[in-house]
Amino acid sequence: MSTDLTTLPDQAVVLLVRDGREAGARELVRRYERPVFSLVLRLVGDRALAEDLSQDTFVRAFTHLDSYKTELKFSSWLFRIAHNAAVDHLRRRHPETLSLDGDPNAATLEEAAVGAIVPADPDASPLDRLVASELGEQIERAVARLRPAYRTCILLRYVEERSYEEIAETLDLPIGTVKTHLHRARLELQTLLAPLRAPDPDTRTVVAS
Amino acid sequence: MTPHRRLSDAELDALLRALPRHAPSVGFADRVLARVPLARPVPLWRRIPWRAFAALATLEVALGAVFVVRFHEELFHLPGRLFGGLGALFASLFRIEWETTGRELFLAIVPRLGPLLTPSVVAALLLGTVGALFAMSILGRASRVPTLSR
Repeated sequence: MSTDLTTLPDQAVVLLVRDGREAGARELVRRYERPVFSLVLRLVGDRALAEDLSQDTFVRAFTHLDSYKTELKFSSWLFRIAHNAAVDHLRRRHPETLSLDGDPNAATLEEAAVGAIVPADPDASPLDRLVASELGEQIERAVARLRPAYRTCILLRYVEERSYEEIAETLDLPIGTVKTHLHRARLELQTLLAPLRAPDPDTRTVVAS
Repeated sequence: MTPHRRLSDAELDALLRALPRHAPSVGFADRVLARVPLARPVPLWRRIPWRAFAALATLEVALGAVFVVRFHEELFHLPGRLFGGLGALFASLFRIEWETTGRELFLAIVPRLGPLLTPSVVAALLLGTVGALFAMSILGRASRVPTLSR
């Protein structure tokens, strides 16, 4: 019997994995490799490390699938494992070594660029790509300056489009705390990203006079 | 230096929603699955097919109830009759001439089995068979250790 796993909800695929079906495990990795990797990458800021931690996340999820309670969304449970893995790692090392410009140990610019976080649209012109790249870098840099809990809230809310309830489930926090985190994170981001906005003409007048 | 206004909520939303998802390197799934143990121990209670268990248990109880209602008058005599019949069968087996052909042997045994197979005995045997199949299917399913398979 062959089932199209792509049409099954997460919970059904989880049951297949619990029953020992590798195809189910592969399907869950296919669904969540990018969200998990993106979250971890933005938390630790290093591609190789993010890949290791993302792998650890999936391996831990699959080996502890018996402890997964189906009343929780699988994605929330998986993001919780990923967030904890990244935060545990950050606690063990100095946050100053984080770099969104790529590998901090790279000897050349080319090597550093390999690990850099740069959003890119393959259809854009070179100039557009340069502008988008610079803009993207500034946003990534601003997000990277947020504390990990704020960062995870922002990423789950805006990149993964999760509800407050799901974020609260993921981080095991009250919904009120999640909303507070998001509010404060947004305030910080608005300040950090202010240079992206056109200068205020009124203020410029005042300054000029 | 030119002062800047803070971004509006809408501008910030737009910027954040434009953040891309990053992809891990090629072969990520293979590397993950290579690290997942191929055979995982699953507790016995999880290997038991509970729906089949409930269905078969219901069937067994229903058949048992029918058996009791139908043969309640014979129930007390049934074990004695069964053992008596089996004893008579074994005793008669010793009187069979084993040098005879297969057909003659069959004809010698079948008439001795006939009186033993009363309706209540047949029903009891059926009930026992269903119970045995039920137990075998549950134990067979529960003893299977799942492995990751394609």
